[in-house]
Amino acid sequence: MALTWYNWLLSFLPILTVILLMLVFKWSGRRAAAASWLVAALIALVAFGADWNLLAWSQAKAFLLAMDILWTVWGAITFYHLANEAGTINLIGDLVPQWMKDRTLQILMLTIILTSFMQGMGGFGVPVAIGAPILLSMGFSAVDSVVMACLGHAWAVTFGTIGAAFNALVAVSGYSPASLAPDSAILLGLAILPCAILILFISQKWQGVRHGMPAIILLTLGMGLTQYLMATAGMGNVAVFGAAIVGGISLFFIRGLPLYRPKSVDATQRPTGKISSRLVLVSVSPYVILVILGFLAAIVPPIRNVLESWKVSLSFPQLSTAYAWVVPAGHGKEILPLTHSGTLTFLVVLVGGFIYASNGLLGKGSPRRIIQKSLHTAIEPSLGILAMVGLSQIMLHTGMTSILARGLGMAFNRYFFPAVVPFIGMLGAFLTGSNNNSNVLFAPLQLEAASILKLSVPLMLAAQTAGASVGSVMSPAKVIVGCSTIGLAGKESRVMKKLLVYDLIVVLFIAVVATVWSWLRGS
Amino acid sequence: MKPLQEMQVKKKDAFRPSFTAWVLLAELCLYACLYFALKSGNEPVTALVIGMIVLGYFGLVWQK
Repeated sequence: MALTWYNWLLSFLPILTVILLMLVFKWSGRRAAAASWLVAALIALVAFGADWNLLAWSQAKAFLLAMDILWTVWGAITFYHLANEAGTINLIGDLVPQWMKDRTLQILMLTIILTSFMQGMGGFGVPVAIGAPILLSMGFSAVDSVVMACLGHAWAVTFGTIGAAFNALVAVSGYSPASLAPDSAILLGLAILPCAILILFISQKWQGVRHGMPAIILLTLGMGLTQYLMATAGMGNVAVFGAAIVGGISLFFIRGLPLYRPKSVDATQRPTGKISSRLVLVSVSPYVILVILGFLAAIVPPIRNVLESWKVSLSFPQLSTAYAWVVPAGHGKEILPLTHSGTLTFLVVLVGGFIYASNGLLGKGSPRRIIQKSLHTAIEPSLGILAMVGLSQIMLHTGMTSILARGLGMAFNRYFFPAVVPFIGMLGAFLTGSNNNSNVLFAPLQLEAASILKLSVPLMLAAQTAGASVGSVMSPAKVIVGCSTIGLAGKESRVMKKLLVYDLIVVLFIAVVATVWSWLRGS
Repeated sequence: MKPLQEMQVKKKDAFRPSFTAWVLLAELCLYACLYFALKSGNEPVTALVIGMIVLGYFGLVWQK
């Protein structure tokens, strides 16, 4: 398919439809996604040489991808409703102010540290689905809670989810982890700085940013350095875990600094009574079990090998459009049911439910309420994700995605191309809702362009994955999941409007750093 | 401070969980059938499955 203005604009139309319907016309995420899917299907049939057979196969592939995502999302939603029914969400909201008196540090703890920690395990909206309700219980508005939780882990997606997105980058580029890890870890580590500043700006305006600046700088250095050291030492799959743990420990030392010692009682904080340590232990036990299970399944090789022996995979034929855009035959998304984060979460729901029930935290009607609320909450994100993944597969199978990226790449010369790379990564993640998928879609293209323009390939791939990491948190599919546990289902446009601006600022920051770095290297 | 329970499911929300959840489940089963219909090469069956998926999906999305 030739790259022309006409084709580029047609390829951009489905994305423009999502953005306009959600931001301007305030449609719910599921309706905007469904309408955009329809637009993409019509364009594919009319202008990109697709037929019904190609569209149907692309949707069969999309279903496999969507199920992989939905299994995680359903697990996270059920886990959230279990924790909420047992009163754990409110308890954590009460505990954080007791552990940390300074409001600014509390916010950093619940956003930059907690959501990143959750991203290390699960991903796909789980950090927001679990983190945002805790922020809400601390008195923030629903929209701000989702936006802050999204920004909190925007830097952590590439090396989070057991390093899945970084491994995809390595797999599709053919470069070794050792050559790609340093630049990626540095760019993503630096992204903590704008994420934390924006979170404090949203919650406390400039006064909070000024007050929190020393803590932000120390956290950026501590967490960024930990991520760098772990990623370059071959531990990329747990680099975000390590960074979040170091960040949490650092914050406990930072709270002892004279600047953050309590001078007076903060009127915005709700008074809390003394909470028994037994109640705390019982309440947080499912979270601890989730972490331990995640670690065991991902890191201990004998356990991982046994659990990964059962795979679900389907074969797909070669597909081509009338304009000779070919998608080779192969297996679709490989699903590993036993090590899947959704399976682990459901297992924790069962064990956690038993612990809560035997300690009197759940009543007689609790299981029924949890199931009913989970079903109700899961419908909105399920519909949105099905449409968004379907849309991305139509665009991928008809060459629209490639045309978009090639157009962006060719519009800039080698001096300014590094500034465009993170935006291309962001575009892929916005569409598919996944840093991983963005890397699979665009890394080969970025690699080719970097080689032609004689730019550093590891740096350009780092800019790609950093842009995708930040861009993935504002994708409609993830925002729908984030809104589902906080009473904003169907009102995602309010979150999107705010998040889009802040997220673009972070991607712009990455673009500027990548460009200056590229100039300094002379590449 | 807004109590968390108040932010939960409101009665005026569009979905009726039990019915909609069943329809969604049926929709997901149809998606799974799509793969096997395509593999079999039986065009009328494939067209029927596609039609039901599209109708079911847009019905779910645009229901009040």
